[in-house]
Amino acid sequence: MYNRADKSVAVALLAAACGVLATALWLKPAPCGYGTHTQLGLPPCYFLLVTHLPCPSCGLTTCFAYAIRFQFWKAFLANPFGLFAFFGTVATIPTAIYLLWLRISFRRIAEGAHFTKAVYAATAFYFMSWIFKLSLMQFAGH
Amino acid sequence: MGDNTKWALGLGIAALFCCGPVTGVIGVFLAKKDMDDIAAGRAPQLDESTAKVAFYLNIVGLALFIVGICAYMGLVGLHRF
Repeated sequence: MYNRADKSVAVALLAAACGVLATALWLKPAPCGYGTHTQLGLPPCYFLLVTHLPCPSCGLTTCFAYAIRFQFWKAFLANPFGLFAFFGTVATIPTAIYLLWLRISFRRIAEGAHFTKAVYAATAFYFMSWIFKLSLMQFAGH
Repeated sequence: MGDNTKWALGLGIAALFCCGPVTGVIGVFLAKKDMDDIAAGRAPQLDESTAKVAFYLNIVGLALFIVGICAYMGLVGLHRF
């Protein structure tokens, strides 16, 4: 049964996706490939400060800032997973509108076996993307 | 212990040390899925307490991330003031 909570979830997804993309457009991508989020007043990555190695999430904001400007190669180099997350965020907008229009609960999608498999795949890709970034740093001699 | 719980535990530990929001959110989702399955009787063989531990571990990881950001912004604000 479709209820007000389901509608709120779809609206929240739509608002979050639009907010993320608007913020990415407003931010200026950091040329070094990470640290763009500090323009929002957020702290620098502590993992990077302590270990001098990027964490798996390093470069995500930079990736979004590049991708929204259609600079996909730079976005990929900043964080390959970020590019996947960017297209996921873009796809969330029509999906949320579709869910609102046809009064379909997001829970119905989230409870499906395919969604869980997609979450596992995304998690694996997130860590593979980290390995890629670490290799790239070694290769570039940073 | 279910696969979701095992993954959620690993992601919770990652959330505590470096990955904060990304693995935290995924970990909460996976642990909650196992908790719901146990509650609905769909997966009675799974260990509920471990699923709960995984769930709260991820919540703690997310909470620490938010507290860290708030503390940093507060300190920066105080410094400017």
